[in-house]
Amino acid sequence: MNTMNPVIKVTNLTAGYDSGPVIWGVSFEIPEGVIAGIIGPNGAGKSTLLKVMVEILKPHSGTILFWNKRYSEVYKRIAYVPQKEEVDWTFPATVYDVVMMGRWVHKGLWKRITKQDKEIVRQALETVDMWEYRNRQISKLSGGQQQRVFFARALAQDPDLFLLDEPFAGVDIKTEETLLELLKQQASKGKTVVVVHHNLFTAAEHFQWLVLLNMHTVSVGSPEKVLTPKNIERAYGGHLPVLAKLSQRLSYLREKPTR
Amino acid sequence: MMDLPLHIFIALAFIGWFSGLMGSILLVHHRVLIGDVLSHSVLSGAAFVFLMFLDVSFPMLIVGAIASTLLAATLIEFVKDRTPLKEDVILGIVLAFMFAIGIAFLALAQKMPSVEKTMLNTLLLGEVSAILPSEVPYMVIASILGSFVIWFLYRGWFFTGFDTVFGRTQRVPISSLRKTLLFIVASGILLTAYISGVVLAVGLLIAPALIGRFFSTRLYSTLLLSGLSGAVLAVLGGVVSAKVEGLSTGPLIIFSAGLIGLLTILFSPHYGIILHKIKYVLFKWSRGQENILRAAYKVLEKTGNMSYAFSLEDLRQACDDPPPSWTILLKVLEIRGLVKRSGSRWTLTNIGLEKARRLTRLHRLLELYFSEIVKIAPEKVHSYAESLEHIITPEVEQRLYELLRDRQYDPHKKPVPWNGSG
Amino acid sequence: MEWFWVIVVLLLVGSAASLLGSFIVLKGFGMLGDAISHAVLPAIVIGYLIGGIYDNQWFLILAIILAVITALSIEWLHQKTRMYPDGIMGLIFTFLFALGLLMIDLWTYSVDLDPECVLFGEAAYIPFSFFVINQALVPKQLLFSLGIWFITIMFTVAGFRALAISTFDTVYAHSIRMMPSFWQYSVSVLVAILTVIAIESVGIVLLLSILVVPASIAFLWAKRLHSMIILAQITNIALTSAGLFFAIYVDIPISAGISIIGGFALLISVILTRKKK
Repeated sequence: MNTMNPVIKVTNLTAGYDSGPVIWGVSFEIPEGVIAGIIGPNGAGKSTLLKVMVEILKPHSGTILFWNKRYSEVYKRIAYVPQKEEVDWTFPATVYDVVMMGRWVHKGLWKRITKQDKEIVRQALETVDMWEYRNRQISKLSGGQQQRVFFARALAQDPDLFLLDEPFAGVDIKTEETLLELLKQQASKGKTVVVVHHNLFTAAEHFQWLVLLNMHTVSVGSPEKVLTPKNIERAYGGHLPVLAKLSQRLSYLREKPTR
Repeated sequence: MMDLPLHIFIALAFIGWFSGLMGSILLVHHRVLIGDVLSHSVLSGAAFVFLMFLDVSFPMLIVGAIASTLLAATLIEFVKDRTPLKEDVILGIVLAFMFAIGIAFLALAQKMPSVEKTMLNTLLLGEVSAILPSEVPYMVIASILGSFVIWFLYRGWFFTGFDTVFGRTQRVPISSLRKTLLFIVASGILLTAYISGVVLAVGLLIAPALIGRFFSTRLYSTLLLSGLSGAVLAVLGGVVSAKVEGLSTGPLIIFSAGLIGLLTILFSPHYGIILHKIKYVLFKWSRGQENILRAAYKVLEKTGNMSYAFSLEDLRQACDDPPPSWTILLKVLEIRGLVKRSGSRWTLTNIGLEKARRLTRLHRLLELYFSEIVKIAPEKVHSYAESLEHIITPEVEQRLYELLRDRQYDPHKKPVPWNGSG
Repeated sequence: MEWFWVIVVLLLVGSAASLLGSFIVLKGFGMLGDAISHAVLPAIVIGYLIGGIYDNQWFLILAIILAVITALSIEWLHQKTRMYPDGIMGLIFTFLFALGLLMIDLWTYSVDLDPECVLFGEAAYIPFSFFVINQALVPKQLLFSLGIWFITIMFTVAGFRALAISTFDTVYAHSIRMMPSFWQYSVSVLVAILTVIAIESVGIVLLLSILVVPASIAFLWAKRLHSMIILAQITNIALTSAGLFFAIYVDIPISAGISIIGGFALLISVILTRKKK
């Protein structure tokens, strides 16, 4: 692990919605080639953090750097896997179409799809064991299959950094294990994986690097360093409503809603 | 087709095609009702142009209509961005507002001396015969142009319609794409309104779109199919109205398109409601047969005589999930050669016995599976097995056999009939 | 005297519509009201066709029964369709409206309905058809509007809690056996009856406008359901009177006048209120 040159460097990040900030002054680094978990209780701002990182939400203040560059310079090297519930599964598309979207990242709206692109899509689908389902309508997939298709799309994008938002929510244990195995493979190739994860109990075995979050950074580092009783008490314990209350007050005071 | 002039035929085909295309792209974004609002807004722009310039030539109408539909689209987006009102409500508000303005202008236009004001009334409910040969080239060019734009942004629709989150992370201009879509429809809907009338135009968007979507699984096939069925439906309505005296073309086109659209919804292979219902009824009848066979096996098992002739009463007592009709299903089983009837009693044939044994075996293995592996209370396992035994695949059957190969009795201490001896 | 009747009928219909509209707006079913008001046209035409003679009131009852059946099936389909409920609803209402127009075309001479009248309505005609009660002339429209207004008020008062809970949280309403779908269907049924009664005088456009606009304005300003409903009533009175004068002043159909004023009032409310999403 090379902690000198972090893949992600977040400094003093405050961000949230019109109703006030959800994360306050968050700072952390994630080194290259690890599977990192962002963990914390419900409402801790994990998904918000991820959304700010990929610029779906604007930060109120603070900076986020990937390989010491701004997101807009490197976004093609970053594959984001959204939560299953965030997309419209009734859309007329097959599994193959969805995975091909990963190639469109590089091809834009109009550049031709080459044989090589098709080959990459095929490999991605074979890696997640979904090649035989390639012509299946996406509305007819199970939750675990949907997640695997999403991961195949991320693979097809051929990124250096994976960002996954709750990939293990609502999938069976077998899919969770397969997916984790695939993530480990990617990490061993020197790619970095960041997973938003809500289950504290599996965190230690799944991840090599943890960001423990509850509206602010509680602790960052290796699982042994982060998962101490004191840190867990700080993240899941009772003193946090203060920040939530403050956030509410701010939303009353704000004159113009920011968008 | 003799009665339909060529230029109208061409106009209907192209506009129908383009309407289907617009409809399907709106449909997959779940925004098809926006077409209704935009088409109703056409009236106000067209009437305004007339009031200002006393001119209803096609290019002028286009300019006026696009201005008003764009205004409507802007209003929708404005209210949507600034309030928590639901989109459907906003659509209703803007529709009523824009259409009321159109009606007001129309009423003012009626007081004008110009004869061309009747043109505006035809816009309300559509009048295909009013299309002039000189207007057709505009319509064809506009339809082709619009279709090209939709086709051009094909990959973009995946990001706006299917996965906006991923699109945003990859800096796909989602909101520009959505605005472009609204712009295409805002400009194109005038063509639709020209043949079907502003009030019914959305029908010519929806019917082909639903047909296209319900018969395909991918976006490009949805688009092609919607375009084609739009063209066919529009021409069909035009031909019929040319043949039948006294019926307005606009309503006729929408009526026939709607009728065919509804039939599609009811009968389409993937999503058809009727077909689904038929499948369900068929399933109920096949389940009924299987239940009779299993009841018969139970009776035979009790008597210990596999060639025992059982009565209807025996079956009734042994069956916990009675079939829809005993007499019909027993007759069906007889025709299939699974039971043999003699008077008011029946016996199982060899094939029937084999089937009944397999069903019983499956049922009892399922009970075992649920009570021991899934750990469901023994008194509940029967109903689980009852509902699942009919939908088991050969693969699952094989797994069950391997898993529970050495078991002789089910949770209720009844023997599992592994082989011919029962 | 004649204008007095016009105002009273418009206020009654508007009051009933904005009351029902409050629940429609909260549920987000704006276009459902539009769909139902379009879809009942064939029912109305059949009612007219069979009723034929002017003094026969049976056509109204027949039209109402058919309209209720139509409304129930649209609501049912809207609730049951798994894919594209909006598209299927749009298909059905344009189909039925086209059917109604074709029927008017077919029986032009026996049906005293004009497609434009169906769309715009003509409130100025309200005083032209009378009942004689105790030797006084009472416009028919007044009696019918009074009837539907009374039914709507009673319905809302009686079912207020159930309506409120079903609108806010369908699942919870279901769990405490408040029968949310019954109340949802009832709102649709009342919209259908209102359409049949008001279509000649008010027209479909104004009907849609008074269903959604006063309730939406009230929704933007009010904090609670009670105040929203009362505010919608007040808004309706204000919009109807302002719209009426506007329409007479610039000489346009009354339905258009009220809808235009309503649209502007809503836009102003959107700009002035800053209710967050």
